[in-house]
Amino acid sequence: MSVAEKRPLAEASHVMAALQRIWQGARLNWATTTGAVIVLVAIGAAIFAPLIAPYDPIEIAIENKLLPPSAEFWLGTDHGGRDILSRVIWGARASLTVSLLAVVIGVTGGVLIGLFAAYHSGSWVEQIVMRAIDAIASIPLLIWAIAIIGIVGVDSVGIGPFTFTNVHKLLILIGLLYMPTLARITHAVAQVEMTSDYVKARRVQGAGNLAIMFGDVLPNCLSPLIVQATLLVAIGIVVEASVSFVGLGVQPPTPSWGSMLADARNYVFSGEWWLPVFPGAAISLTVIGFNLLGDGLRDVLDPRRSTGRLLT
Amino acid sequence: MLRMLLNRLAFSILALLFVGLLLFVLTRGVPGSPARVALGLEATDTQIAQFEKDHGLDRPVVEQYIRWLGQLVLHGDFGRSFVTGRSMNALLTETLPITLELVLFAFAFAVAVALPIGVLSAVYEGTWIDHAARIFAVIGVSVPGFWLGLMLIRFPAVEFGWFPPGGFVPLSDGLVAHLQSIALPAFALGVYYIAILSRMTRSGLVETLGSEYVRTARALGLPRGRVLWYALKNALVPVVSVGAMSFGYMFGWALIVEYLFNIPGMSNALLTAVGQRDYFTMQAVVYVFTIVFIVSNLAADLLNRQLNPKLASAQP
Amino acid sequence: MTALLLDVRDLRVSFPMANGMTEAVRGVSFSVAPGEAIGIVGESGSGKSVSALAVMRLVAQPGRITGGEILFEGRDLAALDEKAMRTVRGRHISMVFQDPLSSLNPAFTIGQQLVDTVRAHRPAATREAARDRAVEVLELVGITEAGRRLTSYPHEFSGGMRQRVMIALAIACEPKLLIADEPTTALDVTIQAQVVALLWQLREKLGLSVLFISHNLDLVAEICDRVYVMHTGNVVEHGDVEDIFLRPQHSYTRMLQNCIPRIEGVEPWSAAARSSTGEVAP
Repeated sequence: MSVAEKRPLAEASHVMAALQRIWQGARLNWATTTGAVIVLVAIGAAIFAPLIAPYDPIEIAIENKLLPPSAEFWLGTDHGGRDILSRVIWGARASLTVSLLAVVIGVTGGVLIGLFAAYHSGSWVEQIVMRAIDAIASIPLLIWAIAIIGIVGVDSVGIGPFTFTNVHKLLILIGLLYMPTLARITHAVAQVEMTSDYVKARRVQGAGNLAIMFGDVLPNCLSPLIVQATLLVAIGIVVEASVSFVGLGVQPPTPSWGSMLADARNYVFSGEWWLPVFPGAAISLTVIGFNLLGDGLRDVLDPRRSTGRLLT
Repeated sequence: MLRMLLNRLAFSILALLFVGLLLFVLTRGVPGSPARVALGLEATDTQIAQFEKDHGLDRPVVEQYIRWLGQLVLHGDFGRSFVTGRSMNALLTETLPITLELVLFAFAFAVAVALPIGVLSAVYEGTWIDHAARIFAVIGVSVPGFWLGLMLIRFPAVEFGWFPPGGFVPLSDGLVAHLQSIALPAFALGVYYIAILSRMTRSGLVETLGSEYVRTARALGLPRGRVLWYALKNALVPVVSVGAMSFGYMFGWALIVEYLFNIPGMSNALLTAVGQRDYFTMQAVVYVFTIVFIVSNLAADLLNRQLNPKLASAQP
Repeated sequence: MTALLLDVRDLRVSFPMANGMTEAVRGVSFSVAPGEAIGIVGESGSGKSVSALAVMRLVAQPGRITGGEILFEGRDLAALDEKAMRTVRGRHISMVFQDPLSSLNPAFTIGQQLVDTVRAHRPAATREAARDRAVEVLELVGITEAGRRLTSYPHEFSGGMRQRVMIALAIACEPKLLIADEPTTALDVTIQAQVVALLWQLREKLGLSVLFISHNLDLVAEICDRVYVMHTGNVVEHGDVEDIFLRPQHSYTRMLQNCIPRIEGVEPWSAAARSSTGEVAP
C-alpha cells in the first residue's frame, strides 16, 4: 500500500537518517562539536577513571594535606591529602552514573506511560494518567528528590539479594521524577501520529495496536526524546551535585563533585581556592557540554522545537 | 473566561489533594514508626503504641490524611511535629517570609536583567550583542547556582569584604545590612533564570518582530518604541508562563542556596527536618512549596489572558 | 502632463542567497498620477509584492533595494533615512495587506491600534481627538456602532470586517496613496466584492490614489485605470486597462487571462460589471 510505503520517518532507516543528520549538522556547528567533545571526554574519564587517575582518590595521606597545585599534584590536594585531580576524574563516574542511568530509567518509564496514555486517547484512563503526571510535575524536582531521600534515608537498603546504596536510590528517584516530562513529550507526539494517515493505513493492513505503537509511533517520538534526554543529563548532573552538596547524595568516602564542594565549603575562609574551583569547573564544563550537544541536536533533529528546555 | 478559571482552579485543588495524599502515603509507608523517632530507641513497645494511639498514628493512612486536611482547611492549621513538638504554623510564619523574600528578590533581579538582554539580543539579532548573550546563556544554564554562590562567598565576600559571607540580617537590624545579606544568595539563585528567561524573550521577540502585524505597524509609521511594544506584548506570553514556573522552581534551588549561605529560611527547615527524620515537618514544608507553585502558575495564566485576549476566547 | 504622485524608475531589489545575490525586482518602472488607480498583476514570485514593499521601504531583511529611484512628490524615498521614512509611512503612503487576521495585532484593541496610528502622525492630538478620529474612519469604512467596537480585539471580527478595520487604519491619517497588496485574496468571494467596492468608494470620496497589487487580472480590471503586468521581476507589458485586457500583447498576459474562470456572457471590465460591484452597499 502506497500510503504505508511513504510513511514519513517510520522506516528502519529512520535511525540511520537521524544519525546522518546529526553528523552533517555537527560538522556545520562548532558549538555542537565542542559539546560533543566535552561529553566524550567526560564519559571517557568516567569509564577509564582507574587507568587515568594518577592517585588513589579515597586513601587518606595526611602528610600531603591541603597542598596547592604543583607538578606533583596538578590540581592540589584536599584536607585528607588526596589528589584533587584523581577525585575529579573519579567524580565523573559518580556524576555520570547517576545522570545517565536516571535518563535511561526516565526514558523507559516515560515512553511507556506516554504511549499508554496515547493508546487510551480520549478515554478517562488518559485523563487520569496525564492529570496525575501534571500533579507530580507541580513540585520542583529538587524538592521531591530531597524530601524522598529524606524520608527513605541515605543508608544502604537491602531488598532480597540486592543492596541499594544511596547512589542507586538517587538515580532511580531522579529517573522516576524525569518520567512526567518524558511521558508528556511522548504522549504529545504519539497523539499526533495516532491520527495520521499512515497509521490509518497500517490499521487497514491489519497491523496490531502494539505493532503500531512500537513499530510506527515510537520511532517518530525519537527525535524530541533524544534532544530532551541530552538536556536532562545536564540537569541530572546538577541535581546529583546539589543533593550530594547537602549531604543527601553520594556518601563519603566515594568521590563526587558535589561532596567535594561540600568539603571545600569548610575552607572558604582560609584561602585554599583550588578546593572549590576545580570540582565546580568540572560540573560546569560537563553540563555546558551536554547543553551544547542538546541544543545542537535540537536544531538538527527537532527544528519545530517541540522540546522546550526543561526547567528545574 | 470564568468557566476556564473554575476549571483551572478545580484542577489545582485536585493536584493539591493528590500531592498531599502521595506525601502521606510516602511518609507513613516507610518502615519505622514516627513514634520510634520521637521517643528514641529506649522506648518500650507499649510506650510506642500509646504514642501512636495519642497521635492517631494507628489509624489508616487515608483517615489520618483526611483528619490532617480537615485541620488545614478548616483552621489553617498544619499541626504539630511529633518529633520536635513544634507548631508547624509557628515554624512556617518564621521561615516562609525569609524564603519568600529571597526568592522574590532573585526573581525580580532575574526578570529585570533577562528582559533587557532578551530584547537587545532580538533587536540586534546576529550582532556581537546577540552572540555574547547566547554565550552568557549557555554558561548561565550550566553553572550550578550553589557553586557560583561558593565562589561569590570566596571572592567578593571573604577576599574583598563587600558582602557578609553568609547568614541572614533581618530588616530590623538595618536596611543596608539586610540587603547586603541577601544580595549574593539572590544573585546565585537568579543567574540560571536570567539565562532561561532572556533566551525565551529573545526567541519570542525575534518571531513577533518578523510578524505581519509588526510590518503593519511599521507601514502605518508608528514610532520605533511603539513598534517594539507591539511585538513585545505578544512575545511576552510564553515568557510569563515560564517566568511563573521559574518562580516556583526557584524555591527548589533556594533549598541549596539557603543551606550554602546559612539563611534560616524554609528550605533550611526542610533540611533540618530531613536530618531529624521529622516526616511531619517535611510534609508540611513540601506542601507549602506545592501551594506556592500552583498559585504562581494560576497567576501566570491570569496575566497571560490580560496580555493576549485571544487566548481567553480560544479556550473552550 | 500633470506632476506624478509616485514615479518609480528602474527599481531593483535583491536578496542575498547562498551563492551571491538574487534579483527579485529587475529594473522596474511604474508611476501613479494623483487620483489614479494603478494595478500591478502577476503570479506569485513575479516581484509585484516586493516592488510594493520597496515603495514603503519595508522589504523584509536581508533583502534590500539595490538600485533605482522611488520619487514620491518629487522626493526620492530610496534615499531617505529610516526616521524620515517613518513620517512618510501611514501619513503619505499607506498599505493594506493580504491577510487581515495576521496583519492586525492580536494583543491590542482596534481602538488602541487606531489611536496609536493617529497619534504617530499628530503628536499634538489629545487621546479624545484621536479616539474621535478612530470612530470617524471606522464609520467611513462601513463599520456600524463604531464607538462600541473600539474596545474589540481583531479576532472578534469576521474576515471582511477585519479587512475594513485594516483599511481604516491605512486611511486614518489621510494618505495620498494607498497600496493594496492582494487585499481580497484571503477573503470569501462575496466579501471580496464588498471590499473592492469599498476601495472604489474611498477612492472617489477621498481622492485617494490606489496602487492595487493582485494576481487576478479581472479584479484589477474592475477598479484600475492602468495596469502593469509583471513577470519574473520585470514589467512585461503596461497600458490602459482595456487595452491590456482586450488586446494583450504579451503571451504571459494572455496566460494570466486564461487562468481565470469566467461566467459566460459577462465581461468583467464592462461598465455593467463595474457598476454592479461598485454600488454594493458596504
